[in-house]
Amino acid sequence: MPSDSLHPESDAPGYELFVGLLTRHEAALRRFARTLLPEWGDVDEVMQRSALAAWRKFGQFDPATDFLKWALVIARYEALAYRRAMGRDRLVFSDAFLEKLAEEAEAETEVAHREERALEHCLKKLSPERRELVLKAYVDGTDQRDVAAAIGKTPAAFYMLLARIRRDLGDCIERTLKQEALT
Amino acid sequence: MNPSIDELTEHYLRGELTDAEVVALEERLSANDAERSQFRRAMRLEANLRAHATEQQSEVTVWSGVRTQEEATLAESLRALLWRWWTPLATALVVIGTVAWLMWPHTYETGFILASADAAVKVERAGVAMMLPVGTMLREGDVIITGGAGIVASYPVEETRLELDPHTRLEVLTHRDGKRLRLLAGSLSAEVSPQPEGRPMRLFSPGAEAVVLGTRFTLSADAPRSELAVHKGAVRVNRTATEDSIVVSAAEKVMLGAKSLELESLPPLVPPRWRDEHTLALDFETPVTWPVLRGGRVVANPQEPGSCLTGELVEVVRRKGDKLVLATSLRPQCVLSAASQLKLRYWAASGIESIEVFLYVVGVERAFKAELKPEAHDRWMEWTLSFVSLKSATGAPPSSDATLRSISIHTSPVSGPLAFYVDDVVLEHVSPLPLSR
Repeated sequence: MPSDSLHPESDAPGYELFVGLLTRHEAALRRFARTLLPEWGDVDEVMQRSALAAWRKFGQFDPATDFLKWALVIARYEALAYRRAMGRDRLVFSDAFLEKLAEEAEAETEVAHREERALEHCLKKLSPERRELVLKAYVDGTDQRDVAAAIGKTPAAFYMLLARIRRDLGDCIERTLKQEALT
Repeated sequence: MNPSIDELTEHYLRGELTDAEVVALEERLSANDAERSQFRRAMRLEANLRAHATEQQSEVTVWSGVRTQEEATLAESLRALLWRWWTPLATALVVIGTVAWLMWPHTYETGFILASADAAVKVERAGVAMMLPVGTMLREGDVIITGGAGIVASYPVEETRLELDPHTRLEVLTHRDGKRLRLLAGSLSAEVSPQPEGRPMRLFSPGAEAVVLGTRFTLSADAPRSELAVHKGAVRVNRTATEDSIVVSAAEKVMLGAKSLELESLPPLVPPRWRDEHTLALDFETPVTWPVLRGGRVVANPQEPGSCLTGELVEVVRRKGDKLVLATSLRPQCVLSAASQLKLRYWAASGIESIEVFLYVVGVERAFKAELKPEAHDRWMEWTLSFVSLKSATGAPPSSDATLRSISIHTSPVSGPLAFYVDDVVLEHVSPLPLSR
């Protein structure tokens, strides 16, 4: 049974179920957190806090209900709390605006999942060079300025190139989803 | 000129929004539903790209990294499949070898068989290097040569097994009056079944001879650090030059190149089990599914308990590319000074090449980093890190009045099964956050 302990053991009842559910929905939770937070470091931080909070409250979760919805509420609370704390050091979006973004993002988990699948298809349509470049640039922990330097571009020129590739991918994803809807 | 929504979104994605841009972006997005929808789509695309790119990279490194349960099962199936094919092949080769032995009685087989998981192994036979398939019985005078990967030679009649490390050369001399082998370079681990009475296995290394009755040990022939370590049973070491000898028992080792043979105690090979006081711990042998949560301690100012860091500490272990990350989130309550330092007690298993400590401070997005190449493995070691020696991407250390936000500890590479433990993380010469801040 999940407890208030900071020492959840992997053999605790429900732990495997919890980890399984969290792992399955991790991508959706990260997408959601990213919408509310300006830095990937912040996203990692909020994901950690959300995971811990979710484990502590896992005893209250009804397995017959939607885990993602339940976890999104926790992630939303943690993200807002984190932003508030962060707001003491730098200017951030207002609470009211973040609440609005969070509400809309929560309602878009299904479309986000379809976009995730469409992205795979659209990446294949890129030229191999552009595909390799964009994947290198977005590997977790990569400093995009290093990738820019490796291909002999200034960071500004590289950011522009990435923005163009993202725009093309965005257009492709939109087209793909429209086609899917028609069929 | 006011920046466009695309420019603002770009700056947001790169974490480079100025205060004025934060205000402008919020105003634009609050007022325009379509632009807000576009903004959310941009965030989703970036998150999906990141997940996809990171997953692809992990797929490339997965076989050298931590295996999931499914991967382990797949590997097991492949191994079983290989063995199903190789066993008859090995048997056939033994038969062919026996025939060859009968046809050329002047050449003696040694009873040792190449049992590496690789399809073929480099062996020097009669001065000629050749690739021999697994299952081949080694002949007297054969020299096994390992490259980047280790291999196994077994003596199947009695389940004796030699595991040769990468870049090792081992000559198989004979087995007629007891097994005789010569370690020419590199190192090996051996599991030796009880040997026939009066016929101990003798393993020669430069300047010394190990007489083995039945035991588990490791022998290294790399001067000047040539050593023999015994994990089970006992081994007698005879030195040829000085004619001295010593019996090395379990959990002892001896330096073969030293002036006199002196026994030293071995640290336990198995890291201690998880204890609450281990702040961060990771057992790579257990398939890691994100997240693994652990609680523990980061101690600040042990001479002055409670001065800061009174908040809750949480740690999360997660896989990040080919690294494993141990992160400690702290409430921002400790202020650094020029004298601040971090003391780390860690245990790194063999194979962990580097440990990186990342320090995050409030108001600075990029981490300050220090890297350590462990001088020794499989034992507790200490590392004292002065905060002024930490470097950011620009080379500058954290400012002397920075407020500590979190600490991450990364190990690299992940090529399990490995283990990495961190005991107390102690911060010294840090002060509480003033109330006015």
